[in-house]
Amino acid sequence: MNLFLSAGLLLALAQQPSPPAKGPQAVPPPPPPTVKVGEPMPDFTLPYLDTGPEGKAVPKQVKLSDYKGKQPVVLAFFPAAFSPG
Amino acid sequence: MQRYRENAAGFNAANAAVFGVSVDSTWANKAFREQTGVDFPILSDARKDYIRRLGLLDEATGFARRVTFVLDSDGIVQHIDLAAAALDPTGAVGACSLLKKKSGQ
Repeated sequence: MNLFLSAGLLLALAQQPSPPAKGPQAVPPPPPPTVKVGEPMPDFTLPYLDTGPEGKAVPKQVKLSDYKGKQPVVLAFFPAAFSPG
Repeated sequence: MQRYRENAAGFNAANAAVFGVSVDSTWANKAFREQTGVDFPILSDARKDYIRRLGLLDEATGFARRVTFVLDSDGIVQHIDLAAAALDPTGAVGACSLLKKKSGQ
């Protein structure tokens, strides 16, 4: 490659618009869950408040392993109360 | 969570137990459930231990990432919906129906 052509190529490269800066939306995807399809779900015991008579709060808890051998379970993790979905 | 409530019939038909899980207090979750008419329990992992163990804790916000797991009756994960897909319970309802067919119930 002659010098003239090389210089021209460099000039052309230098004139190319720079790629757009990555904005805050260009975040890497979050890591996958530690539990995969085909694996057992780790057990948990977590509390909730049921609504009793006259709207009274009734403390209860759910232990995942209580459902084993009984019925399928759907666990929907979501960011916060009053978030969409 | 409201869309999961709207799909309650599908989950019931598949004999699936549905739970929401967030890092909110039990009181916040009770208020949320009552305001939205969600009829399944919303569990509180306020210490974030379980959510962290599953790799679901968003350290930047301190909240759980949106993920839905469907477990068969042996407690084995059969279906996972991540992020935006987890907003729509259709996949989870489908997975539950499939489990029911497989079990021949």
